[in-house]
Amino acid sequence: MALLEVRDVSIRFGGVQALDRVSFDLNRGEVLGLIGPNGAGKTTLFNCISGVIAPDSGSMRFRGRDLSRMKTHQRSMLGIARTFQNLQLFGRMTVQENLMVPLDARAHRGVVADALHLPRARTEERKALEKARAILHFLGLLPHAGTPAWDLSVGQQRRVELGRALCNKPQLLLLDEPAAGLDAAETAELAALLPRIQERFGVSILLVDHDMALVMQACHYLYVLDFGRLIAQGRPEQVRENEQVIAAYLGEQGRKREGVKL
Amino acid sequence: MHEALALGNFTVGNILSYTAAGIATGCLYALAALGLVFIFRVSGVLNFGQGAVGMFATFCAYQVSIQWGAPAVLGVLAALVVGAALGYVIERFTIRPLEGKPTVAKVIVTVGWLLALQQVAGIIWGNNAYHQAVRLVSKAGFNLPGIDVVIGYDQLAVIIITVVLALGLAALLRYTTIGLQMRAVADSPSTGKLWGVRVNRITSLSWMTGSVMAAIAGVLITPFINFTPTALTIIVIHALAAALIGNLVSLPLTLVGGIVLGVVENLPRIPFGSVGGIDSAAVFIVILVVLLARAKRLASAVRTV
Amino acid sequence: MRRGMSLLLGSPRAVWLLAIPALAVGIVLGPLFPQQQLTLTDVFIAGLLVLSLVVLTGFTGQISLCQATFQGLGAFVAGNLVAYHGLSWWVAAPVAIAAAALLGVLVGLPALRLRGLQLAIVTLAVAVVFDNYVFYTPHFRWLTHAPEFVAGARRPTLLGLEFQNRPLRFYYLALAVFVLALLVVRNVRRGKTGRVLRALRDSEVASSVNGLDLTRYKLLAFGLSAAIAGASGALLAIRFDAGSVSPSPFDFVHSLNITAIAVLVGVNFIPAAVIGGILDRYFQVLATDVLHIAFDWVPLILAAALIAQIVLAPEGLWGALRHTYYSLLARGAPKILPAGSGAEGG
Repeated sequence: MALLEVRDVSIRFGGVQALDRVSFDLNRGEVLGLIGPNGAGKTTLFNCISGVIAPDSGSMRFRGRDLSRMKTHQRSMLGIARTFQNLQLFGRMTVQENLMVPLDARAHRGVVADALHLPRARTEERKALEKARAILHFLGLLPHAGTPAWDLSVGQQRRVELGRALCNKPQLLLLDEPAAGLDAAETAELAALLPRIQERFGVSILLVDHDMALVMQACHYLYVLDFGRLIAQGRPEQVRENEQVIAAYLGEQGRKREGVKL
Repeated sequence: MHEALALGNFTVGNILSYTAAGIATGCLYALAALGLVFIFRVSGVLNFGQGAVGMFATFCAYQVSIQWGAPAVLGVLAALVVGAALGYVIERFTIRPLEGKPTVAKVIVTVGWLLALQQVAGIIWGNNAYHQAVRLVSKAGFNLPGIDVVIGYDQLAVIIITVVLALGLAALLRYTTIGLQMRAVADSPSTGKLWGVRVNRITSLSWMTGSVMAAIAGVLITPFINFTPTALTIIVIHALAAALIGNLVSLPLTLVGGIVLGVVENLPRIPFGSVGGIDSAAVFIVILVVLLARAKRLASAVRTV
Repeated sequence: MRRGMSLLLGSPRAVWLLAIPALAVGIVLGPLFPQQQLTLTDVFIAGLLVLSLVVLTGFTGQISLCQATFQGLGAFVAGNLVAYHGLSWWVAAPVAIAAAALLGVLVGLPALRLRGLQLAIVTLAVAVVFDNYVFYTPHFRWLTHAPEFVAGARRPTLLGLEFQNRPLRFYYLALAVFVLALLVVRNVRRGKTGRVLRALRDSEVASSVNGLDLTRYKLLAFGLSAAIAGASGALLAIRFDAGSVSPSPFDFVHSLNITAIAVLVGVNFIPAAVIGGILDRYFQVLATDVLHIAFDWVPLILAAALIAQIVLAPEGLWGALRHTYYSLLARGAPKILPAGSGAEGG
């Protein structure tokens, strides 16, 4: 049984078919890539899987469970974590606090324990802090632990979001354009980081990005979306040669010239 | 012709006349609400001071016409001018500087204006004194043919004016260049800027228009209710309720919402008489029902940057 | 040196530098100024109300324009139970707090589906309906004893000590309740709940995607906030020696005013509750007795100050003070927030 099974997921926004019967499997331990021109529906698919929006039709199963009955926060508890294309950090809060939030979500103590500063609260707090700091150390962010998240550079912020996602104890990591805004050196670092994350945390990864070098290097298998439909799939080398895929990307240039909104 | 129904006060005549009165006040709520929605659509700010602005303009009309003895028309004109001026000042000096700041800040500013205007009006004209309303149309009533109901000319005037203004506003948005620009700004100010729309000017205009509508609503409503600063400021609640029914974006729905609100608010008066505050309870229940019914819908009314 | 400074400033211990002297002042002020005892007690009661907004608006970012309504419910429940059901205030007060919390949760229910603006509308509607209807109508007479309202809610005794007709003792009671509330809120903020609420404020979508049940925590914020306001009300019920409770302090204008004051002093910060309480009670005194401004003008000045403050210093009085403190002492180490980067305007 695959870790994630997506079957015929479709969703329509106004006049646009954002996703059109998309189906694929993600198996444990895989790094899957999802590529396609702008507006192809990649972030929409992520939103469906993570529970931000509900598809019009189709089904998604994660660890054998039907996701359609599960609210957003429940999916996180089940083991789905994600990062955002446009960064949704808790800007005002420190880096460390950002990472502690998912840990807090899983903590058992209630308000009263917090309010009265009970020993149980203190212990849980300390443990969560250790966990968060361990991940910060792994990502090289420890020096910035006490900095408000919005004070960091884009590269650092992307790593904070990654760290926060990892604090969800995820089995599946959805990375939405993690290389956006990163220069070549930072992207290379990211490419090297992904297998280390896999090894250390035992996560499977679904990756969306436009940086082909990253995608080619990091992914075992690729799916290509265009206008909401899967038009190709295969290993990176195969997909690269695929004529439809090339046409889709070239078509993107043509579409841009005509001023069609992507 | 019509026999009185056996249910005590619930005679057909009563129901019809209370309904007619409800439609009239409902139109006024709708008018204030239309201004509110207009401002919200174009500038993204919910003006909690909408009632206060209308109230202040109306008191200026009172000052001109009743205190200084000028003809009623001049008083109303004064109200319109004051309304537009207030709208301009509020937007230009206290909303525009907040560009990019969170919604809460802008809401609090309008609340600040609500408090300030209400207080100033209280100082100048007194909070509890009796104020005579400025009337443009006589209160005399006429019989609807065939039914035992009396409708006032003033109520009729209100309904007509509201419908005309609502249609006019819709036409403005749809068919004029300015309207087009307003819709552009409403959808995406940044894109609007790229196309040469003077966003600041358009936003200013929208606030002035919305405030003028508040002023008109204020002037028209005073013959029907308590003419005090507080009473008129509270109109904003009814306007907000009507705007909610229109989901904060749809002008036609807002109009319908206002009318529905006016009727719903009036009907409990038939069995209960004028029990204090029962209309507030009615408004509240309407708000709750509408919100719960809408619960599933994503809050698309919030402007995305 | 700089590092040591930022450790000091960054750590919660910095708060104790201010808090302990403030507490000492609070303890000493009562006996020192007998004529001011009642007004100072009012400062604590008002401060509680501002604190309730710090939790709801400051931490969680939810707009509420009906805090005085929660306070009023607390006052009526407490007053009613003491005056007409023979309960001691020690029992009535927790019940009143629980009742207010319940109302808070009910008001918060629409919050689950609504964005900030629509929520603000609901809270304003709640304020108006209670103000116009619930607190006055015979339908709710069992609660409010309208139209005569509540009379005779006696203050309690503690270990044989009477509080009735003892302004100084009542002063200390109010001070104790206020300090307790401040400590509770501080602990909440520093711990899991505080982080969760602040996360909700910064990004709801990120919060839910990271496992936070938005429903639960929004309702928690509303309940906690209303409970604090209810505590304020419970104190108000026994404020007057005759123990009378009437609806006039709880109208929607008061809710708007307290929201205005909270924003003015900086609703994100706990110490703002103290300043807010002082402002609420003493600004009027200051204006009328010291500056000889006409009574009517005071709320106007406050409203104008609010408008000016949002535009010029969005983080409020305390926020501005804090910034100045940081920039003076830390020699530029912490970055001043760039304008427009989501300044804490509310």
